[in-house]
Amino acid sequence: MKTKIYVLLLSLLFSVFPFGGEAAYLTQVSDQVSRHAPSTASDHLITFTTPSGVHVPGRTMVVNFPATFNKSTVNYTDIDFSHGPVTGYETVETLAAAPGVGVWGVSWSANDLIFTSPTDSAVNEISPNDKVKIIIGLNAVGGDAQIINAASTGSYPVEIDGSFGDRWFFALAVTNDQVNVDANIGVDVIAPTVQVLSPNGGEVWYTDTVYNITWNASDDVALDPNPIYLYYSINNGSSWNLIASNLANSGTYAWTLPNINSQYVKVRVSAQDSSANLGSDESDNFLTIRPRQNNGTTSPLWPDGEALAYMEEQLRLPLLDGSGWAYPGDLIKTPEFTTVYLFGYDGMRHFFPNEKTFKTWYYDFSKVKIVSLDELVKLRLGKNVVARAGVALMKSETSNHVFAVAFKGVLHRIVAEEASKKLYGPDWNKKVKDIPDVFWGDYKVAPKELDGEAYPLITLISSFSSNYVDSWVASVKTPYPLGTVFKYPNKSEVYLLTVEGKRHFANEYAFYDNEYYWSSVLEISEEYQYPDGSKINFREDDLNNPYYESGRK
Amino acid sequence: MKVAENKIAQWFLIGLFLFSPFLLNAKMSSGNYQIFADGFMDVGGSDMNSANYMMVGGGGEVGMGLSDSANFSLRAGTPAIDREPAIGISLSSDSLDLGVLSSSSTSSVSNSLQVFSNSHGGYVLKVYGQTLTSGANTIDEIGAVAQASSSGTEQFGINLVANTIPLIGGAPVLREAVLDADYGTINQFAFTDADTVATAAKASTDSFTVSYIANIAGGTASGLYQTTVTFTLTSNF
Repeated sequence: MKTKIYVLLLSLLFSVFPFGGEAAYLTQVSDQVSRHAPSTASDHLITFTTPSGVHVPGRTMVVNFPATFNKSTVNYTDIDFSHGPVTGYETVETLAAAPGVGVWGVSWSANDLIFTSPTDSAVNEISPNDKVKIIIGLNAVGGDAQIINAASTGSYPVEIDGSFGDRWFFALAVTNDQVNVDANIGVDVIAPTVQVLSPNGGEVWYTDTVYNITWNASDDVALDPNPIYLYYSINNGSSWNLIASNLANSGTYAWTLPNINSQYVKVRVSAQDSSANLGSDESDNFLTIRPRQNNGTTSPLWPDGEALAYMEEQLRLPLLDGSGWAYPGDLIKTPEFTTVYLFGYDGMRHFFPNEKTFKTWYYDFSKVKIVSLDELVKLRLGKNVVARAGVALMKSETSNHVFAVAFKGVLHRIVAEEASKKLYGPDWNKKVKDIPDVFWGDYKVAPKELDGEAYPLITLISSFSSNYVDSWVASVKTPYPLGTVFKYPNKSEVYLLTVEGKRHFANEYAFYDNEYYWSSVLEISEEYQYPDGSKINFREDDLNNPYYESGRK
Repeated sequence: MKVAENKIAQWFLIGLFLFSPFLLNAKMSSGNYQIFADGFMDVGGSDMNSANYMMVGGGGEVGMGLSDSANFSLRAGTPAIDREPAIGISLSSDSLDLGVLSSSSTSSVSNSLQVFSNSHGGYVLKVYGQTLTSGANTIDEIGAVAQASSSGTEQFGINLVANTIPLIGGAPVLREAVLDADYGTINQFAFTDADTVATAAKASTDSFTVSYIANIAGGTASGLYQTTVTFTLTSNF
């Protein structure tokens, strides 16, 4: 009985687990590619040995390529198919898009490259243990298309199977496979070495004055006879303006500064060697260029040209750390006190009443220079700095009256909250800064009040300054005081309202150079139109110097 | 007698389970691995490695490996292939500069090359490319037969070992790979298109340093010379 059971189990075992030979594995499977690089066309030589061979019509051999390989341009004309017992090239088959008499069909089905045996296939169409060679790409006779590797690196498995009965796998590597090797014989490919010595950042230079640009330049072989090119930029290197070209490598050039006003200036020195290699260096940090001229206005406290330079040399104070000087126009303080002063061109120090007033002019305290108390007290106290026009609304600590600030500390009272909302938006109250009563006397309150309606501009200014005389101001109406920084809705241009009209900031560097910040920009209705004034291209001392606004000019 | 017959049948059945390589023509997989080929009869085999490595053992398997005859071919057991077939090749840089060449000294530069294949058939690593060229001018490649570096003679060549003349390259870290003699001899360099530089007979992971040397003669034309060297890996699964 037990014997019968074992025999039964044995029979069951044989029926459930068939022994090898029914579906054999391919051997010696490989694919020799010409390139592994991603997204690169590659030739393929697929080789395998088939234990079973092919013996009847319509049998398929299928190569299952990865979906990420681009096979779209490859067809049977780009493929050679052969087999044989030794090399695999003994019998070269004729291929076509579909099988026929003596012809193998080659077609794609999605990612499957399918070889279908001829319609008249007989036993040993491909003999058992024949080597099979599949050439795909330019190495095939007449081949002019290749499979494109996947875009991503990695190892991609490929399966060969089909109804002929055998199957196995191989893998394709997609990876960087090339090295470009360079060498040089007698050709100079090394650019000259250049170092800008001056200006290298931190300097304050004045227009219409001669300053020396200095540099070092050398080359491993030889510099061009006149190798030096000098440039300056006022936009942190976005564009460069030529100063001089084809200069000798003397190491110095006397530069008469152009009429620009910017604190974002850099100088570039380029040197060319005898093989036309170009080396360059730029100022490490920004140079400030300020105008000598006073924009045509006159003032005994604002001398022009050399007189100003002389005055600055006379007035300058040594910095506490010995690293340089504080000049008129700079912010100064001492280590002992928190008070910040504006070093005026009148040789006096002008006091910022509080941080709120300071921040109508400057974003932070990073530009403040430290001098000793002994040096500071050499400067007499001048008038206090007033808030900047157009940046904030002001009120005293003891009154609810809110004022708009125009140039030179002129205040226009805004008569009602409705007017404040109309002119400065629903969050107008966030713009209001308190001024201690003790400093209220630094300002002048204009008789003309703002009620949200537009008035002839001249009515806003004529009672305060005989300097503001221009033909257009009588005809243009505005509800906003001079000094307002504004833009129109859905427009990118930013303007400053001045006696010239609306002056357009030429670019963001002109905007930053004049110490304005985006939070200062008021969006106003397009019903308020002003004639175009001159563009603001650079820093203008009339616009960004608290000294002027304190009524010193 | 019946008892004896039963025991014979018992032992035959046990033996059948132990020694018959079941060819289940299907993939086996889980969330973490996939076995492409069958064969789970591996009794006491060696090289049972971690999840990151291959199982290449097969002790206890009768006739492990390839069994070929005129009428059939059999790949028995786990060692045939135990996970997704994979190969890889990695170059540490895609551009090298030999600098300014001189007839009085050898210029050399190197990068690293790693090769991987989990196929039991191993791999063949070949190098393709032409010699250094500048327009119509070339620097002679050393050719398929290795030579020592010789200043004053036009030479462009590579090898995959640590050299002393010139001092370039590092010792290869080889698991199964064998360097071709022309590319694997210290201070000997070769280069010709489609040359085999290394082979492995088994699954292997190998690291090489490929050193490039160039020498020129006194009359070698000046210019910027360039070439592109391509490595291909063909694995036998």
